[in-house]
Amino acid sequence: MPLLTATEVTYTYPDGRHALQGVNLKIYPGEKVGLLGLNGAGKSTLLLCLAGVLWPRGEITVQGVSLSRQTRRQIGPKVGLLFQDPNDQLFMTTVFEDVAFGPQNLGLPLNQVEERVSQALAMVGAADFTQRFTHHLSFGEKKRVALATILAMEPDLLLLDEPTSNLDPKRRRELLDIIAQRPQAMLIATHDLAMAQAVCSRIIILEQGLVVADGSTDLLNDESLLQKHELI
Amino acid sequence: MLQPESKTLAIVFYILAVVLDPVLPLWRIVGYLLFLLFFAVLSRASILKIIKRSFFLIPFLLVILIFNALPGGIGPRVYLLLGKGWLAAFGLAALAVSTDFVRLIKGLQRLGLPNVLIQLLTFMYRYLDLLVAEVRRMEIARNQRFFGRGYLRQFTVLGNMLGNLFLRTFERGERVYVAMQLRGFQGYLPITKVAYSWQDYCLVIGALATLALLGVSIICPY
Ligand SMILES: Nc1ncnc2c1ncn2[C@@H]1O[C@H](COP(=O)(O)OP(=O)(O)OP(=O)(O)O)[C@@H](O)[C@H]1O
Ligand SMILES: [Mg+2]
Repeated sequence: MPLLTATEVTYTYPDGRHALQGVNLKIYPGEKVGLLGLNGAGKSTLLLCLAGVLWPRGEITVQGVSLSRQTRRQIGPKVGLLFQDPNDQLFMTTVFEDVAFGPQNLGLPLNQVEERVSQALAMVGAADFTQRFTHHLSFGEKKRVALATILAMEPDLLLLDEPTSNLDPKRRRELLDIIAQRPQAMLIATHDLAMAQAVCSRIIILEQGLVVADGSTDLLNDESLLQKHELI
Repeated sequence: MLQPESKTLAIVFYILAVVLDPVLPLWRIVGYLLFLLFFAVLSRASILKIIKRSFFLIPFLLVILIFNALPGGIGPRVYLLLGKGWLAAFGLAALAVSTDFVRLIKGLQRLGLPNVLIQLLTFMYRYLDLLVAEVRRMEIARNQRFFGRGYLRQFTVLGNMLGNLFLRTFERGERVYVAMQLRGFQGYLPITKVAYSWQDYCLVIGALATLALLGVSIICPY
């Protein structure tokens, strides 16, 4: 059974912009899928829809449950979305509180919360950030902490919106390791073809709100395809 | 390590005592200052900083002075007002110096202040900074391309910027709210439990004792 399915997902922004025009895709447990496409292709919009932030037409199911306003609370903890802009993600005052927010709401006892927080922060190389103010972090640091807030929830599916943007080479490498090691399924929107090549088993190319290619990572070796979709 | 809520409670009791004091004789002033010293030592706050911080009251005291001293000169009433004012300011300054805002809110939450108020304070603090930063970014962006041609034009640009700021804040607010829901937010900010030390108890008992002392000395003066 697929972990996530999207059927004819169509989204039009309130200002009339057609961002998604009937997207179909399935993601299976443990799969790492790269989501490629030009600026404005609809990658972020798609991830927002899949996480239940935006409400598109069409159907989205997670582990067989159809995503709706009634089921979002139940599905929410299973799907972790890393926003493209970490300022949307970090809302508590200190890093510890922010990362602890999710686990606390899951109703875990304090010692488990603390354990998850320190594990998640250690994973993103931010172990000593706990008492820092989230709004005083640099962009790359915010991005890493934002990732930690999601890892601490231990979701089954990670939706990552440009996880490597603004990371220094060292952090980028570490992030690739995290992605490769985590057992969860991931859908990763990115312009970083090298990352897609390194960690993804499957590639989806989005163009003007439509899936125009969906296949194994070998697609990235197909120069004419990449040229056709202006990815190189 | 003192918890913020015991510091808050202690200062509330202390200010209550100061405000209720009907005559403020010298010995009680010494008593109040001794309590503050006790507070400063327990919370490891610098006394110099507390004194500096208490200067925030000067403008208010000046106003009080002008309105009350002009009609009748510096009589006992004015002395009482100024004395109480300054002692209360010392108390607030001591609290402010020894506790940062974030911990203070946490303390208030554990003291059982209404949830709405706590959320308001928490998010105000968190996003005020972001709002200011956003305004600054827009300002910089404007100044890089706008060279102040005419006052009227400046106002239209300002109007545009304000509208833009409203939109940005509004949409961010929505996204952040959803981000919170995705992590299981149900209308309550989690409370972190803390342990109280003997210092916490000492401090609150000390403040209560100050209040009690005042009560006793009012009821039976000698
Ligand atoms: N809040 C919004 N209101 C209106 N239109 C929007 C909004 N957000 C995005 N769009 C439009 O929807 C389209 C898809 O945007 P989206 O952010 O999904 O692109 P993307 O593939 O993530 O691009 P990028 O690579 O730059 O992140 C774009 O044309 C964009 O202008
Ligand atoms: Mg995007």
